[in-house]
Amino acid sequence: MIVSGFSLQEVKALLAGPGLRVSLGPVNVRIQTRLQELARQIFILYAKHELAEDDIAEIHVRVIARRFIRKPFSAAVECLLDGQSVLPAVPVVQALDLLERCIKLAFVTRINYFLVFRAASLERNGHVLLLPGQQRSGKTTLSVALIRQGYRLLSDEFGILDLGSGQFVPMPTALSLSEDSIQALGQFSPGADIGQATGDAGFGNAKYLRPPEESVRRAGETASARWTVFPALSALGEAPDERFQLEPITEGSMFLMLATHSYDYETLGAEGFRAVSQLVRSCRGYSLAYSDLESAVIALNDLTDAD
Amino acid sequence: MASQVYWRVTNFPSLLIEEWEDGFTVFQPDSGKTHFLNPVAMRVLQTLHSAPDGMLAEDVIGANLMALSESDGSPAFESEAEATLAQLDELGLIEPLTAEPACDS
Repeated sequence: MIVSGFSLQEVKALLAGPGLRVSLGPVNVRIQTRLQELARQIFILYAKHELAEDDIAEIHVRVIARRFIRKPFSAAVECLLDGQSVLPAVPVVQALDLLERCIKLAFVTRINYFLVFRAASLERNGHVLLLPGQQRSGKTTLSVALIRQGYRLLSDEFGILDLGSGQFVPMPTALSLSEDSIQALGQFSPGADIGQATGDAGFGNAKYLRPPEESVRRAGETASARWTVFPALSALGEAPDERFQLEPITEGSMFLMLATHSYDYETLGAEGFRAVSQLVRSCRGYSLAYSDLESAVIALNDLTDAD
Repeated sequence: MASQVYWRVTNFPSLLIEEWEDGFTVFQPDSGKTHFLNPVAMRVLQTLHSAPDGMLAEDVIGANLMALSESDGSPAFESEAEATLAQLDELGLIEPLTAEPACDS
């Protein structure tokens, strides 16, 4: 059963009571909150997600209203992870953003049976394209542009490598788009309704976008990596053939860059070393400098169509 | 009289080593660190590991590297060899042993 199998009122009752248990792919999350607006946003963003079938939820988050003695009239919220506050309180309008950050923080700090990269991961022609990059490096924007080209989103923030199978695991969560990202996507695909099925992030015009229905429905389908591309926005020439540079990188560089872009490489020790070694042997590495979204998409389409 | 510096590799059998087209990645379980080594540095480790007593004098290591690289032993080469040993020492992959001073006469 999926979340939209319930009415909004039923979802609100679950969130206010025993919790809404949602499967995010590799982990189950139990969410609790009495905040009405947040409940509505969760209902929209997680509408197509499966309810967790078993009773075990690896991540348990609760978003609660908070009043401070110094600021008694400003509404703030806090996110508790297993009962502990792990992130600073934020204004109530940013409750959704806080919840999303808390779930992702829990995933990278508490789940230790995956090698997790700071990377967007998408599937094309049966294989995974890994796009490592730091936070706010444009991974989500590029992911949304690629989704519109038919790529299947595994995750816009994580490359999740199953250490046992060597396969990448999907975890389609809400996509966070900044005001700049929305503007860039609007230029890339004029007329597209970026705001459809979103929740406000609570700052500027930033939005949370519901992940594609196909990605959520196929969240159990893993795939092996074939391409690792390190993208970077750069000032390049204006001519069509100067707007991107896709260059192969050496295996040693790829190893070190992948290790650097992993959340838990060092924690996993020898297991992490073996996993990255296997990954380097199984896929090709590139650096991609691009001046705009359109040129990045052209480069990545060419690459993934070629082999 | 000058004291001769000997070097030995630390816990070579425990290292996980992967060879790539442009060098080697080495995982060192004792420290939990991963290092990237060029072929010369890896050759030093392998030479030390296969030495009869697991150690070699610095000048022997230098001669070995010189033979491999067909260098004429120029100051630049010597400096590179010393830098390689210093780097491996800093990474904890080799350690110096100072032997008894040799008798000149």
